[in-house]
Amino acid sequence: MSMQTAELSFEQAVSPGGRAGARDREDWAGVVERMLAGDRAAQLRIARLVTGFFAHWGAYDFRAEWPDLVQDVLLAVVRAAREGRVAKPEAVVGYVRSIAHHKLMDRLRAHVRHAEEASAPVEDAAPLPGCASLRTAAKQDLVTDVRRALERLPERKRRVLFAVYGEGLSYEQASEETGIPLGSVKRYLREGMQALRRDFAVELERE
Amino acid sequence: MGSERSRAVDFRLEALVRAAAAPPGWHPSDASLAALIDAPRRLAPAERRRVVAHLEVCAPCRDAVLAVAALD
Repeated sequence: MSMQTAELSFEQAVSPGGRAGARDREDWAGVVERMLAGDRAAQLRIARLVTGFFAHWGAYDFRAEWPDLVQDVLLAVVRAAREGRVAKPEAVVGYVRSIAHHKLMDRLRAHVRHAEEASAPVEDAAPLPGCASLRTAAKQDLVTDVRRALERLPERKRRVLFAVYGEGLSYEQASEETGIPLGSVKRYLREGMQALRRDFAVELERE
Repeated sequence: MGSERSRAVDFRLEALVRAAAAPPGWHPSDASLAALIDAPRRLAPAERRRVVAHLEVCAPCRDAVLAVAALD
């Protein structure tokens, strides 16, 4: 049995800086309660709230440390909730934001101290933290280029690729959705992917 | 060896195309990500590939998953 998945907007999923409406409607006390009971989806809800804060603050120099930081925040929220320090539902987001900010600042201070104390020769130095964000940015650029290439495909091919790869439809569902015969759906997918593979051969080999 | 390389390229291309074709601003639900961690087979194969492709390009979702998966 497959699970149905709701599609989320960026605001609903991760962004603390987006419109407040979706976030305000969330039952945060319930989320925290479920998190305390070990509910995975609730843990993810809070975790994505935290990564949303990090993204909103542009903390990409610490990208490699986000998972550790998020874990620290989750554990702090669990401790605080168990001790009854996150009692008011309307205070949950602010509390998580504040903990996330403290953890990030602690990490920043540790980096500054480490940089001051470090006397390692350049060739032994760890990669610059910003490298991770550059790789992420390069990947995002590539995704944007692929999207543009998809949009340039002939209409029927484009519709089929978006239906199968964008909406996650099966070949049969894509055929029904687009009114394109199943055999053509398969052919368009094959030809479309071949064309993209040719266009992005260098990038795909480099990855 | 050559065909292995070719399969790897196909896999990367599919992940890229899924990420590129996803509706702008789309993120998987908390339930989908939770299923990916605890019971990936509960997700339909196409949905699983779609979520994994998204994690390739979305740092906030990916790191949330890594953090939560490491809680056990």
